[in-house]
Amino acid sequence: MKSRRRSWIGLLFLLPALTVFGLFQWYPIFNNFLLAFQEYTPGMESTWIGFDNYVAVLGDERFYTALQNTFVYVGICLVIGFFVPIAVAIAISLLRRGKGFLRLAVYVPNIIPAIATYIIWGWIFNPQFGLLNQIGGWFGAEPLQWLVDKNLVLVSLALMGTWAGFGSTAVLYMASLTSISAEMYEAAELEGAGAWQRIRSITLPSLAPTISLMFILQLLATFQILQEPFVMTAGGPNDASLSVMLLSYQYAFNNVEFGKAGALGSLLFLMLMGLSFYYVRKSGLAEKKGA
Amino acid sequence: MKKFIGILMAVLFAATAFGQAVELKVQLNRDTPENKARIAAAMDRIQRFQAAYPNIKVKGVNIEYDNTGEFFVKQAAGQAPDVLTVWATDAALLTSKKWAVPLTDYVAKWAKKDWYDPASFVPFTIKGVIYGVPENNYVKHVLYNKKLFAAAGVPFPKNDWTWDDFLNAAVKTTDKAKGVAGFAPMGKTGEGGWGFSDFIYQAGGEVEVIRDGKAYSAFNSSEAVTAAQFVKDLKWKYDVVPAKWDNGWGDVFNIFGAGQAAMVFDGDWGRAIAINNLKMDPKDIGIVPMPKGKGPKGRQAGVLGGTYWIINAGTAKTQAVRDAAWKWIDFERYDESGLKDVQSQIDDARANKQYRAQFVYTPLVPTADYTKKERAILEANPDAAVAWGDEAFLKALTATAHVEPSVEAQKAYDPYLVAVLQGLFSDKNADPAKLLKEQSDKFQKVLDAANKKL
Repeated sequence: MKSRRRSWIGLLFLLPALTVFGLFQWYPIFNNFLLAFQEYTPGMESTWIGFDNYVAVLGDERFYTALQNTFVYVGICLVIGFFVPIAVAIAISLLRRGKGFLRLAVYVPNIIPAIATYIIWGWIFNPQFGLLNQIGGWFGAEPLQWLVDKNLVLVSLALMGTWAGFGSTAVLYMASLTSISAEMYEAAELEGAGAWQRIRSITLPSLAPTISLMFILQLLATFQILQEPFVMTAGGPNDASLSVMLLSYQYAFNNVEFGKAGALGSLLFLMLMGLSFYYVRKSGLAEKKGA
Repeated sequence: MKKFIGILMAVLFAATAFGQAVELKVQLNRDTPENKARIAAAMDRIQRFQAAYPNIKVKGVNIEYDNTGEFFVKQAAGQAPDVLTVWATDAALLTSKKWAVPLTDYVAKWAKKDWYDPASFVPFTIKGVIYGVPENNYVKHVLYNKKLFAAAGVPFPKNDWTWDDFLNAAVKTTDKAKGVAGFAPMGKTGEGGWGFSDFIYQAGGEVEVIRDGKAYSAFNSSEAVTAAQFVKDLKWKYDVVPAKWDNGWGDVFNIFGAGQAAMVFDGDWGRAIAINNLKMDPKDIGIVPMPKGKGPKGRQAGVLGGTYWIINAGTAKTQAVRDAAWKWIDFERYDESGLKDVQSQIDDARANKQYRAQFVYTPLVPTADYTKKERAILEANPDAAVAWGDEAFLKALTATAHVEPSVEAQKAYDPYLVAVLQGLFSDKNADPAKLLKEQSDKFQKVLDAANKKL
C-alpha cells in the first residue's frame, strides 16, 4: 500500500515534465505523422491524400541531393568532429597544470549564441577579407572560396559545427575520465607503461561506453543539421549544402507544402530511429548502460 | 394569433441580424517605438471607420508581411488579418493556396477603379480574375553610388543605357584592393533567382509563358543563355562582383551602404537600409532604369512589384466579413487621410533621425491629383523624406516594367533560377546553356503538376 502511494507521489513529480514533453514533443511528432497524409494549407480545410506526399518527396530530385549531402556531412563530422573531443579530453586530463582554464576554454564556444557564432565564422570564411584566407596567404596559398565553393561548403560547415560543439562533448569525456581509478594509472606507470600505452590500455577501454553513446548522439544530431546551412548558405551554392532538414523547412515555409514537409520529417524520424535501434543492439549499448 | 407571432419572430430576427456586429481583423504595423505615429494614425482611421460603419467592429493585428513564416503561423491559428497588404511576388503563391478572395466583382462596381493605371492590376490578375488591389508599386531599377562613379571618372548613366555601359561602369568602379565591387547582385534563395530574372527579361527572354491556359517554363532559350553568359562574365571574366557573392537581399544594401559596391538592383525598400542603417547620404545615391540587354530582343526591363491589398480567404470565411474587408480597402482610399498617412511615416522617420527613404509610386494614372500631392509632401520634408527621380526617369521607368511569372513564381526563383545563378558563380567552367536546360526541365515538372490544377 505504502509503495503504491510512493509511486503516485513519484508520478506527480513527473507530471510537469510529462505534460511539457507531451504537449511540445510527442504531440507534434504524432501530428507530423498525420500531416504527412494530408494536403494542409494553414487556415483552410485539409484533405486526406494517402501516400501522395511521400510519393512527391521520393519523386523529388532535390530529396536525393539533400540525402547525399546529409550523409557526406555526417561522414565529415565523424572524421573531424568525433575524435577531436576525445583527443582534447584525454590531452587535458594528462596535464598537470592549467586543467581548469583549458576546460573552461574548450567550453566557451558552447556559450556563445549560435547567431554570433555564424557571424564570426561568416567573416572567418569570407573569401576576400576572411581570417582563413589571410593565414593561407602568409604561406602563399591561393584564397579559397569556402562557403561559396560547392566542394568545400560541407567541410566548412563541419569545421564550424565542430568548433562550436566539441566543447560540451569534451567535458562529458573529461567527466568520464575522472571515474577511472588513479591507482590503475599508477600501477601501469610502475610497470613501465608509457603515456600512449596507458591511453590505449586504460583510458580508451574505460571510455568505451561513453564513446559508444556519444557516437549515436552525434550521429543523430548531425543528421538533423539545419541551422548552419539555413543561416550560412541557404543550402547553396546550387544545393551543395542542402540538408534533409533544410529541404523540409523549405517545403513548409517557402512553398507552403506542409504535408510534404511532414512526410520528409517522418521519413527522417523513422530512418534515425531504425539506425539508433540497430546501433544500440549491435553495440550492446543498452546492456552496458543497464548493467 | 399565429400570423402575429410569425411577424413578431421575423421582425425580431431581422432586428437581430441587422444589429449583429461583424468583427473585422485589420493589419497594423508592428508595435515598436519606430511605428508609433503610424499606429496612432491607423487607430484614428479605425475610429473613423467604425463611426462610418457602426456594425463593423475592427480589431487590429500587428503583423507585417515581411516574414511569411509569421503569417503562416497566424493563418493556421486563425489570427491573421482578414484584410492585409502582401507582396506582388507572392501573387502566384497566395492564389494557388486559395488564400486570396476573388475581387473582380468588387472592383467592377468600384468607382475608384478608373483612377488606377490598369497595368498596376496585372501582377495580381490570374486568368482574368483580380485577387489584389494595388497599394504601392515599384519597378526594379539600378541604384548607383555617385561618389564611386565620380572617383572612377565614370559619367552618371543615362535613362537609355545598355549592358555595355553597365559593364563599363562596373569594371571602372571595381577596386578589389579596397574591397569595392562594381556590382553586387543578390546571390542566394528566392532573391537570387528574382534578381537573375531581371537579366533574362533584359535579354528579351521570359521565365515562364502561358499558352492555351497552361504554364510553360521558358528560360531554356537563347535569350536566357545570353543573360546567363553575361552574368557569368561579370564574375569570371571581369571580376566585378564581390568575392563573397552569395548575398541576400539585406546584405546587398549593407554592402552598397558601406561603399563596397558601386551598383545594386533595387525595387523599393533596399535603399532605406543603406540610408538609415549605414547612414549613406541620399544625395550620393543615383537612380536609373535597368540597362538594355544584348541581342536582337534586348530591352530595358525590371520586375514590376509592390504591395497589394487582399482579402484573406483563410480567415474571412463569411460574405459579411468579406464585404466589411472590402469597405476597409475602399475607406478613405486616396483622400486626405492617405496623405496624412504618408506624413505620419515621415514623422516617424524624423523622430527616429531617419529618412522615409523607400521608393514607391502610387498605382494611379500619372495625372492623378493624389500622386502630385503625395510628391509635394515628400519634397516639403527634405530632412526626413526622399522624393526619388524626375519626370523623365519616372516615365522611362514605367516603360521597363515586367510582370513576374503568374504560376509558381517563388519556385521559379528558388530553387531553379537561383541554382543557375549559383552554378554560374561557383564554377568557372559552367556551361550556361546546360545549366538553364537542366533547371528549366526541372521547373517544367513543377508547372506540369500545377497545370493539372489550373
